[in-house]
Amino acid sequence: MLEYLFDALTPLNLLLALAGVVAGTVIGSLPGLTATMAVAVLVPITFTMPVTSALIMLGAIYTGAIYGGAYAAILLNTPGTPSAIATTFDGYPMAKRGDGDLAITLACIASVVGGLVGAFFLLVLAPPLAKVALAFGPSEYFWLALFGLTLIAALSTGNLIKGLMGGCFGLLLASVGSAAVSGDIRFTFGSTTMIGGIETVSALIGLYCIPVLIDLVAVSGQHLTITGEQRGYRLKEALAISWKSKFNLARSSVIGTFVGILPGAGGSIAGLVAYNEARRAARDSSKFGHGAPEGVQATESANNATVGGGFVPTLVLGIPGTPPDAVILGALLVHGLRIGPDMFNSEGSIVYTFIFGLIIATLLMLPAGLIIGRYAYKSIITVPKALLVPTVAFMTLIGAYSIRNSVSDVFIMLVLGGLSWILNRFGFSPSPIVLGLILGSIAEEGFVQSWTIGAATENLFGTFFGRPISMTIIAMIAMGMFYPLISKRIQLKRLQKETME
Amino acid sequence: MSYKSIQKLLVGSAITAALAFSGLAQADYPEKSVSYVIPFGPGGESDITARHQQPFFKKLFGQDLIISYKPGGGGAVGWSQLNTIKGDGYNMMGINLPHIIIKPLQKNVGFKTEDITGVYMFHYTPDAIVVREDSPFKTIEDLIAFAKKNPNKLLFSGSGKGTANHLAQVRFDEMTGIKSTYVAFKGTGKAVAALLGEQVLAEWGYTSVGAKHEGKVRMLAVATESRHPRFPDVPTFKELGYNLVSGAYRGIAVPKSTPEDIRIKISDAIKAINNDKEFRQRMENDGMVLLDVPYEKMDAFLDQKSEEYISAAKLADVIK
Amino acid sequence: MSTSVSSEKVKLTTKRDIGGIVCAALFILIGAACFYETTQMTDPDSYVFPRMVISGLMILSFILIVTSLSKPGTAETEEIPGKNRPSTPRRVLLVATLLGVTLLMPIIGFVLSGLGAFIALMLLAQYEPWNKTKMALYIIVSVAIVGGFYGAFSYLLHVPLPEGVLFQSL
Repeated sequence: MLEYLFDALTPLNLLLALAGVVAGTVIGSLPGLTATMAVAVLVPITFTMPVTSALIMLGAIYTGAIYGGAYAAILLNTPGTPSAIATTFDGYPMAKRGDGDLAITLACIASVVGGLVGAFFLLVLAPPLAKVALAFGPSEYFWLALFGLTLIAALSTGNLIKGLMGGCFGLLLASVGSAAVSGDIRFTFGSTTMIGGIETVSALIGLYCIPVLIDLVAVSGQHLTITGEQRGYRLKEALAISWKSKFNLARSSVIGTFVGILPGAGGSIAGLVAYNEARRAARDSSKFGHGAPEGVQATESANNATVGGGFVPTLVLGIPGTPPDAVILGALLVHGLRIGPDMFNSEGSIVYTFIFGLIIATLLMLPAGLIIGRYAYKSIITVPKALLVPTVAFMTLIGAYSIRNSVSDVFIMLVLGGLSWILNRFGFSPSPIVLGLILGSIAEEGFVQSWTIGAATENLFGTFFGRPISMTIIAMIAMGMFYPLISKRIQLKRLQKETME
Repeated sequence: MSYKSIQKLLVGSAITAALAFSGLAQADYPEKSVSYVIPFGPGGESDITARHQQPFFKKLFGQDLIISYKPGGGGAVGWSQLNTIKGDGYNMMGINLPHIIIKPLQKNVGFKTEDITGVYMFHYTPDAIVVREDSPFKTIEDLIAFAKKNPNKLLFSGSGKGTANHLAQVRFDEMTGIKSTYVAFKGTGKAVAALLGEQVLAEWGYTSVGAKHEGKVRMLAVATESRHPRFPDVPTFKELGYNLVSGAYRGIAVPKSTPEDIRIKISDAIKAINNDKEFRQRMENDGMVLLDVPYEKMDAFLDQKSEEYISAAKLADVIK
Repeated sequence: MSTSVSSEKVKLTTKRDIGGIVCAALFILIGAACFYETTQMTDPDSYVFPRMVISGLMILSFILIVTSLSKPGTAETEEIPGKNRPSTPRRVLLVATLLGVTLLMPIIGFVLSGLGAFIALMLLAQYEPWNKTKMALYIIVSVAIVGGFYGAFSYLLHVPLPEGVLFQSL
């Protein structure tokens, strides 16, 4: 196996890994440019290079882009890629109180840890893990989506009903356009603008970034206030915090790997689930949403772990785990590779060299990511408002447009942005809406398919509730909903005991 | 100079410029890279076949073929914008059957079938019934016997509704008099995952599924005219007595404003790629069947396919 | 995204959540319109799930309205705008500029509309007075940024940015 490591260490491969990570990080940091797009653009270039080098470069771009998404999430409250949605929850509050530099360094460390864990699972356990991808049927996806939606309860501390309303609104937005299962065009009200539905990335830009711009332009003064002197990378501090939350990082990375294995789930859901679990496990969960470093760490380690996880079904089954995997899979097929479980034996040199390349790229992300992150942070805090506002606004336009080359998406982005600002004023925060939007099609697909299967086999109840993995997820949902009540009880009892004694 | 004469001069020079430009374009097509829009997301079969064409376009014509994606509305987003793109011969878009026939009949999707100027249909992926390698179903007859005994309980996965897979299922049920259940998934990848994960008993898939997942799945029959060269052991529906020749057809369309001579040039270019030996080999390895419907035969081809698809879609209740 | 930074004092008032009620009413309207559309669909696969969601949205909205109206009104913090009062006209202008530019995009093309938006928002976000050198510098920067992005997107990433019908006819 070691010889593959040396194959991955050739100067060309090292150079491609570094270039890929840097390019990916920059692309990911721009809202509207996603890993999928970056990888797709570079596929033709790979036709002229050896397959392993091509794979290493594409994998490096993918890893970098997932990490780069954290910058905009932390500094502008706008996830650069959907994977970074949950990074905004605590990253932006951290930046607002002057800890943006710390948040970025933490995100970098967490991303490297997550990336390594994901790649490690890919290296040693890929064929057995691929079975997980197949064990998830329609009902499991449905319950997983519901599990994701329970995060609404945590995100709407002010008013649960408003949070749930936001979630429903998001689910409704998700059903605009082509229906998940039947393909019917829905809720367009006769307009062709909406045929394509609400595109997730452009909606994210609208829901999160436009309100920030609206508030930015309304007052004078700098965007992020910096108190005290500049503190460099704050690497020591970040390492200490990371060491303290090693269990959080490990748990989130494992969650990320497993969610990554599920075809179609992806980094955004991995980040949300890991965030939810980190919050539940925390001793003091009240800090979450107000700048808890653990929130950033959980999300960023989980979403980078999906990279390795996503390659499991891609390489073992030929079923892409995430959209960028789909592009890479296409490239592999054009390169003439046969995908399948045998590939780990017959094409071992390619597969293992690639995995080592991915690990090297992830390690290179530590220095590269810190330097680029530092630069991103400095430019956001030093650029005068009169340039920051138009630059970010211009990026929202070009980003929303380029995701599908469509002006309609720009309109939808702007309208959702205005709506999001107004709704937020009245206590409807954008995050539950985003949750509904992201999980909507997965929930609907799972529900309708389970219903079809259940009705045909005359076992509706069993299809939804009788399967072991479904039952586990349902138990987790129930625990999540009742845990706050139980924990209060326990605390109360403990208090009573203490006073009795 | 009077205002009028300036105007005349301007218009005149504009016309000469336009003529010169189009003359230039005709002289040596293609002169620059060509944009190729896939109205679906990456990783699907439309993408992969386009990716197969990509290096051969470069090899034969020395220019890049730039692939981009415009997913949404099951292709409708892309096709509804096709005619707004510049028709200079450097823009083209993938088209799929039955999509461009069925979609506009379901609802207002922003385009009509006749708005689309197809210049070439270059291949089709035949429908096929796929089962797991360890499945007890060895032949189509096994499957039919099971379905007859257990109405509705024969679960098929397939990619989407109103697609080639779905229409094939409906037509097959009609031919055999069985009642099977079709569970629609988003894309072939998820439909295969459902089959391999034992969520369903069989899949209405494509020959490409059999090629890609060889060793894990078996095909019981394929919907081709004659046996597929890659799968000489798999019978066709036709030889089993079911007149089912169908699949997902893919081709290339250009904006309406594209001049007639350039349409023919593009048609010839795609034909040249299809004729490349290595390209044929790669496509057949992936389970595709190459097809040559050039520009001048497109209308007749579409008319014939429309009839087939529309009657099946009506049966399936996909259109009224 | 609270505006608390810019307010000087905070005072407590009791009032009903009028905004919430209006939003809830709006959601009910949207829900009703969408529900009506589901009645036009023939395939249960298309309408079952949206109907569940719409019902949820409408019921929750209804609950919110009833509870808000039945409660006598809750104590709420109200911000008294201070000197650095957030400017609503600038907010509206920002959204209006972006929408306007998007409308113009297919006509005048991406470069011009993007540059227009950039300069308009630059003026909008500037609170200090301008001087000539600053103005010149900022305009150069805006041209560079718009041009840079245009170049990167259309040549490196092959994104076909709108050219504008005005310039396409020739």
